[in-house]
Amino acid sequence: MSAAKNIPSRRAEWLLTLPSLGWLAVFFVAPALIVFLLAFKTADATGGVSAGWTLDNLRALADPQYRPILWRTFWISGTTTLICLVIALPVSFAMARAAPRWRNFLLLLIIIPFWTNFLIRVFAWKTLLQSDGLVSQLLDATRLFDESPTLLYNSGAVLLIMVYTQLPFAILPLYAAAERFDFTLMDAARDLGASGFRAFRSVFIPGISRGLGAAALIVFVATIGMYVVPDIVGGTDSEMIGNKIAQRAQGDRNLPLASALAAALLFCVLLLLILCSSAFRRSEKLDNALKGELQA
Amino acid sequence: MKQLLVLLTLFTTGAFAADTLHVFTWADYINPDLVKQFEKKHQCKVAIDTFDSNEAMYARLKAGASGYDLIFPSSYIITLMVQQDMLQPLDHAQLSNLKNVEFEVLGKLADSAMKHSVPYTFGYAVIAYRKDKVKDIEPSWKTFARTDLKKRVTLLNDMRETIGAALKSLGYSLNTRDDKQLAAARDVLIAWKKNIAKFDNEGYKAGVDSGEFNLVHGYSGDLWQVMQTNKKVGVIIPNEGVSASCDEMVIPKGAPNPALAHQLINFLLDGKASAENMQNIGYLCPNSAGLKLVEKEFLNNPAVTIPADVKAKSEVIQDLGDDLKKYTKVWDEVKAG
Amino acid sequence: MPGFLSFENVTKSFGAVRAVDDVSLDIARGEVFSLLGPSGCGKTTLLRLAAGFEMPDSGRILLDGHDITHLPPETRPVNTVFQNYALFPHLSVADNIAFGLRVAGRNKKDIAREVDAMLDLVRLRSEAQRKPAQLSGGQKQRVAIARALVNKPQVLLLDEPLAALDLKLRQHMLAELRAIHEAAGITFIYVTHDQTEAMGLSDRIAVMNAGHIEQLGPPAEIYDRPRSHFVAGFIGDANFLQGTISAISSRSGCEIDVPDFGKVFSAEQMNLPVGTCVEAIIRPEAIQLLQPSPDVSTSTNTCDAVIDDIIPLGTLTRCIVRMNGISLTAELPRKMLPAGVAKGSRVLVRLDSASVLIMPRNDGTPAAGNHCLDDDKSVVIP
Ligand SMILES: Nc1ncnc2c1ncn2[C@@H]1O[C@H](COP(=O)(O)OP(=O)(O)OP(=O)(O)O)[C@@H](O)[C@H]1O
Ligand SMILES: [Mg+2]
Repeated sequence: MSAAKNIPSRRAEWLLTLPSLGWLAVFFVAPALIVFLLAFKTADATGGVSAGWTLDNLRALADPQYRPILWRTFWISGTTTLICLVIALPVSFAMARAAPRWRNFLLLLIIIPFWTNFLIRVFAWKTLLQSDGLVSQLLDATRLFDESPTLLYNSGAVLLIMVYTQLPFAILPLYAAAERFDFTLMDAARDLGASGFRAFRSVFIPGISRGLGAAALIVFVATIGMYVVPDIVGGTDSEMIGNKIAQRAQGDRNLPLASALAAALLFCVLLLLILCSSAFRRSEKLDNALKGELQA
Repeated sequence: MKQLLVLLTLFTTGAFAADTLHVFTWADYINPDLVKQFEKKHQCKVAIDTFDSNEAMYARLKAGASGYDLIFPSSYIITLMVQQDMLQPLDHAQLSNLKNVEFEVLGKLADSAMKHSVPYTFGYAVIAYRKDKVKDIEPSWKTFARTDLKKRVTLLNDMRETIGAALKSLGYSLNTRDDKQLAAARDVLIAWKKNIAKFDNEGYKAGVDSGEFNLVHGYSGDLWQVMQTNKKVGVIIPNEGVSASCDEMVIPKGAPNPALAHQLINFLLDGKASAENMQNIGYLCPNSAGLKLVEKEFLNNPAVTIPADVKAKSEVIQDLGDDLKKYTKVWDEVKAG
Repeated sequence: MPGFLSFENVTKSFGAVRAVDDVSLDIARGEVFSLLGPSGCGKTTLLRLAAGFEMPDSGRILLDGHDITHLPPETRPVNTVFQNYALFPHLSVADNIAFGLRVAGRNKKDIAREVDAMLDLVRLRSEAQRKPAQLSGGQKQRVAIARALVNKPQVLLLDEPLAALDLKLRQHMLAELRAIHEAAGITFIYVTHDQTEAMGLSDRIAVMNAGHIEQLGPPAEIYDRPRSHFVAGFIGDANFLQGTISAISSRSGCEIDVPDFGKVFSAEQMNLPVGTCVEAIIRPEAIQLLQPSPDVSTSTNTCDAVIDDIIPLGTLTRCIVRMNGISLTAELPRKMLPAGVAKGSRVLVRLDSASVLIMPRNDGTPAAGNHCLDDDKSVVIP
């Protein structure tokens, strides 16, 4: 294609993306900027924001009180990510190997929960797990316990429901990668003496590593800022950074400190995204370079 | 997107038409029959929007929400709203029923002259429990120290209420600014925390009703509502004293329909309306004319009328200005502890 | 002779498609055995059955006397060079080769030594650290062979390993494969649809068609004595002439009457009665072109013809000749061409009677014309 022809199509492309860019700017970039700016303001006693700038809020982040919360947040998000991947890997493998009409059906099953509001699904779990809920009744029926254990209001419940809500976000990118995976490589590994599991581990998993990276990133980023799940099914030991931000913004009426916490979280997520996308781009560039070298 | 915006504009302009009164209040907080009567009498519509905490309501107004005519915040935040010049002075000439407001209650409030606010309900933060599961219950905040309730216990996720309960259990004022007293309350709460399932503002009503929770810290009117349908739920009033809160009616600056707002205040202050109202929502309305009309059974309910000696030890939560930070610090330590 | 690797009445279907249809086959130890056939005839499926990726619907597969029909692939002493190589893209050449040894739990020193030996064998030492994406087609193919061979399989299965290569490289790799086979002494099963590859490499060839084996034998036999129209047409080029047996001589062969050509004599001994509809098969190199001259024109196996086209093929020249209603393709060395022939020249065509094959036409293969059925010129020998 000639350069002259390129320009109008470029412009058209710009015009086409303008609405979504505008949307992003108004609803994502602007709020993020406001959060960043507020982090440098002082709170007044009435819940407002006073004039002048300060670094106090950023300094307050170093307060040791945040360490256990941060630790817990990373722990829960990390574990959620890990469990999601461990479940999603065999699922995506099975889906990619299934007959095409089954594939669409399975895909549908994975997407169906999205038709129900997120909060409703979380409350549904709460109903299932509460002391007179279905799960407790089943546990009672087994007579394994003198009195059925409390299933809600602990980090385990938070983890379970986080995994439940995030699992589709792990399965979908993994499935997309698995669908493109060349399954003769699995045959090749089996042929060379690898067991099915070994082939899965040494060939399938490396083969879909990009999908794996995407899935891990999506789940981790989505859970690290999670507020609703620990708020509804968590107990006194399940507070995550998202809950702390909510407390600062509402109960404490300290918007700047809430903003500082949110900005720090946003910063972590952005850093993670940049690292991942540069790793991704590096691997892609390597691939292209290799192909180029070969053609030269 | 554009269509959505158009739709939103249509919706909002339609809803804010002149003959509509916009009320911003807590959930289940006005007898719906009364609303209908009022609408009929004044040929208008009453649109009710709800909030679940004073802070959320305050944050929403601060963020620029306008168009509300009448709001029902708690007294401590009204102090703040007055400071922030967010409220209109009330025109007493339009409020003939002001005389019905109980004099005794006014004494406990910052705005005792009702310059900006008129008391609507008077409630307490108390304890409800399952009679079938909790035996030998003492009317004391120290019940939260009991380790035999299998963590089926909640405390309010509200730092003023919950730290207040701990302060009361120690015999201190729940508006204290004393660091030592606050530190002691913190230690009490950290001990209580081991026995509770969660800090909760929304789920305790359903929780104690279903038996999910055995003991909950909650607001008297909400718990009264549960008791109406569930005989297994009982209420205890801690004898160390409780936090009392008064929700009041205020008209924000810039209200589109202040005259109609005054009409509704006056309507709700009417003795008969007030009596009907309190027996529906479960909160005591400090309305002397109304209190004469309510059934005795209602007044005898422990969630409605608390013993006089406990009442004497009860306090209304006040805005502490800059010293709120001390509570925030305690609360952070409790949550982390 | 019981085979080293034997298929006994093996059948495998995919839905309605019978990919492998009642195949019985014995392959000897150390043999290079080729499976040759058109696309979709079941070659890959047969290999996958041998490798263990597919389980047969019926029948057995034996290796060295042991029934391996239901063994999983990883336990069979059989390795495969896949049709598309199936190299692990995330591993270097050396790691690809080492894969099988690592899986087998061999120690590091052994692995390094054997991988080095393999790299030398396939001459990829300087590419050892490259990823598959950095390799040319021929290099990839050599990695695939090395990766399989390093495990010292008893049988090496090669699924069209040269299909993706250009002619030059293909010939080169074929020579290498022969050398590797000599060096390793392993049984090879080689799948291809390229007959020259199969002819050049194999001890024996099985020609497959629609899931079954049409003919099995040494390359020369398959070429010289195809037993069906399909085999004759698939292996090398062939001219088919439709005719009727007109005379049989118990010692020297038979004579057939081919409309538009005349009498064709074949040295083949046929137990067919006079009058049978047959097909004469003549390889292009079995056709001579002569200067037209009156003294030979009347003899058997000759016919006057016109040159339709001359196509130089390098050492050989291909001529399309037409006589009456039929046309034949001849291939002959340039210097064997009659002097001065050009397009449109008249020539005399002579068929080498020793190279004329006869087969009955009731083998299901539809003949080009249907002369035989309404043939009234058939001659009965008195
Ligand atoms: N997994 C499968 N599912 C369904 N049909 C299959 C499958 N594998 C092979 N077939 C069918 O079986 C037949 C034989 O296929 P096979 O791959 O063995 O052919 P091939 O001789 O190797 O062909 P090619 O030369 O094109 O590689 C074909 O008709 C093919 O469509
Ligand atoms: Mg094939």
